[in-house]
Amino acid sequence: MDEIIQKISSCIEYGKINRASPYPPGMKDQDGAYELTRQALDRGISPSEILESGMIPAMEIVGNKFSRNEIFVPQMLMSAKAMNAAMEHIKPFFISGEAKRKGVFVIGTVAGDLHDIGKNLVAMMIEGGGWEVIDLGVDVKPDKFKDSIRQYPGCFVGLSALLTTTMENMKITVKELKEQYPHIKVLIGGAPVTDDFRQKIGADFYSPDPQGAVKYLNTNRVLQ
Amino acid sequence: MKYKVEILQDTGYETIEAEEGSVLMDVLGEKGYYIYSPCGGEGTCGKCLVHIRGKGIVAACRFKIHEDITVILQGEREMSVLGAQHEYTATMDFNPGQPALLSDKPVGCAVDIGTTTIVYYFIDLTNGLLMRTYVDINPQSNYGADVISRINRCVGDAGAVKKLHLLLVESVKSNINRFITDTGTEAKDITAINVVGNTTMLHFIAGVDPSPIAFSPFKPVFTDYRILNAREMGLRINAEAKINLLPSLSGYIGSDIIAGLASLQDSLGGLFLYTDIGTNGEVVLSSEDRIWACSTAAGPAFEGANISCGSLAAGGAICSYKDGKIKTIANSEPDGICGSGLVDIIAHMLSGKLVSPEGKINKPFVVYKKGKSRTISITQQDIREVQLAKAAVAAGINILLRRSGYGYGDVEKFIIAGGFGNYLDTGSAIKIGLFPEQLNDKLLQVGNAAGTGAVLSLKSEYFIDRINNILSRTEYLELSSNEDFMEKFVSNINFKSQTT
Ligand code: B1M
Repeated sequence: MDEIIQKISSCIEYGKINRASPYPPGMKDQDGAYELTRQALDRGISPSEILESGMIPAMEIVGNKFSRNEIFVPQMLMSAKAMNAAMEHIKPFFISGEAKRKGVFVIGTVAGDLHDIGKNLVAMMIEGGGWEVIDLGVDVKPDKFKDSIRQYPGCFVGLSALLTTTMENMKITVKELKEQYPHIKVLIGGAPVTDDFRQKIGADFYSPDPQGAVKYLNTNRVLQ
Repeated sequence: MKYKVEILQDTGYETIEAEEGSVLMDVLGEKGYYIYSPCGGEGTCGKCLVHIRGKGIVAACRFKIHEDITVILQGEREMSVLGAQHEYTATMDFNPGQPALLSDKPVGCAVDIGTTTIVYYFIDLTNGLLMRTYVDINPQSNYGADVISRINRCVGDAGAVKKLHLLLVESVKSNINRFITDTGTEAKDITAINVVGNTTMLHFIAGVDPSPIAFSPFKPVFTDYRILNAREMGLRINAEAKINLLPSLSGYIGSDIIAGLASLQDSLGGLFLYTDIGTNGEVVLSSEDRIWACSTAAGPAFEGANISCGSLAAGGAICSYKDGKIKTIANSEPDGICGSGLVDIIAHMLSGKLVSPEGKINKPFVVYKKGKSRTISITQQDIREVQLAKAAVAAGINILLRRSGYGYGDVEKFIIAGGFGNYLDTGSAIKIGLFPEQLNDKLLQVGNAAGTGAVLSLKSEYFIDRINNILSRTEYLELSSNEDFMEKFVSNINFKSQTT
């Protein structure tokens, strides 16, 4: 593999956004994901190669480390920021068609709930996994999810809830979505959510962490 | 028939035997346990209080033994927190007003309803002296550990609101009865009950459905001063006695916080921070004119919940850990780790580099081996829970300062109220980043300020003016819609030193 791709990959793994960023201390004054991705493109490396051999595998390493509890929220967030910096250069190619995404993932925190930190991490990790993410934000009513489902046929839907009280709204949302769009796949997560609860409310998948959701999407996308 | 009496005390523990029906104080006395009882076991002074596991606090001179029990002899420190008078307590002339006129031996009851414990203070309204303090476990605990879980029971279930209301009323009733039995006071002499608590508890005691507090935009049904009729609530005390609920600010800043602030002396002046860390972690910044308040939703980690070996601050809980030396509440064999112990242990792990600044450990840290079967230890997940909780509090402090335009250098005092805050080793709290390093020499632990506020409201009818003054100057910051929160929260999750 090209050395520069390797470098992009480690910038993302360790959260080196750009040259100016002081984090991580061990990579001070080096080029970050932002500069290296530009350089790689300028050298003629294809955007999909950078994405598939550099960025996505790095995010997978990050996601797995997080699942094993080896890193925590701040490190994952730095990695996601580095990934975003690289993505800025790749995005135009999605529009031109030179690079492709795996599908569309619509995510939001359910009605009545304003916690978004976990949801944001999930969104970033899924985007870093090569998906287009439509983030509807917090306090999202079922109708808003439905609008997106109509707008992005074949999308997956993710719901996050952090309060015991809003788990009820998660249940209502799943029910409404499934009634109207029986084939839509709904993923759920958030601190108080469990797999038992998923079964009870008829959602398709529960993941305690972002990487589980990425894996589910990757294995199920052909089926849709 | 003989029963086992296990005795836990500051200095050690032992198990003794007792005859069926024997009086606890006598049994203890025979074994050389000195129980302070100025009335000589007449059941009138209420000084011989001991804690019986599972039964709560009882007068040792009245308690007869009919089963195996575990007695926790109250260390002086427990009572001192509840008594909560300190050099920064506001001085107010004794001026009890109307309730003092309803009887010739009037007694007022101040109640602090916490989500976990309820504290009762009985005040002689002829002279303002504290007659008794009782602590009760909030009987709603079976309905969930935090307010949200309890509210959740009430969503669309008026029966549950009623049930939770009655549980609180039962606690008030039984503690009043206890006081009457202990002191020989007559029911008609109890002429006022003043209540502070978090906003949800105030709704429950008033019998009002608190559901709106749990959903955005978190608007409580009421925050104002409420007067309830004692008789209508089924309390057979003085016929004209009122139950006064002191006013709150918002759904997550209750009258406990406001009364606590009002209990502080004016001479505190200047700019000070105030926090009461329970499940919600309220933080207040007070300047001479304006006050800002927020609730950081820290979570119950410091109350031992979500921690693998966590426990409430009760007998057997590791409450302090210094250089490998363990101290437990009542000096009994370690049973679990309570908030203050948890903070100490993590500070110790940081000093010894057993945990990285990012919160990573290589293997669980064994705090204590309990026989062969059980170890009390700190796991990776425990560290993560503490990181989230302390980051939430630290972020709240950051955001209040930023909002007000002040910096750490401007803060003159940092008041730590509440039980956990009182036992906390402030050095350890700073080490783990719960409190900012910059405020190291400004920390002041004041015990149960909320309770002190409730007591002051009985002693002086003008105390309410202080409360209203505070309310009129306070701005509530809703963190849910605060754009800086995520950044501040995430930047405080690591154990590195704080940033503004
Ligand atoms: C689609 O597929 C998936 C898959 C995986 C998914 C997924 C979706 N979504 C999440 N995941 C998973 O991936 C993420 C990474 O691993 C994880 O996401 P998490 O979100 O679990 O984890 C995040 C990365 C980090 N964790 C968090 O961000 C939550 C941390 C704590 C401290 C917390 C915070 C920060 C906040 N809070 Co709130 N808050 C608490 C929390 C207590 C604690 N110590 O945990 C909790 C959740 N809050 C609580 C409460 C009560 C509240 N909070 C409130 C407000 C806030 C803040 C604004 C202060 C802030 C949120 C800021 C924000 N923009 O999100 C209020 C309500 C707001 C509302 N309606 O939403 C308020 C109601 C009250 C208050 N005191 O203000 C409690 C809920 C109790 C219960 N029984 O439900 C709480 C446990 C604390 C407590 N007091 O006990 C996984 O769950």
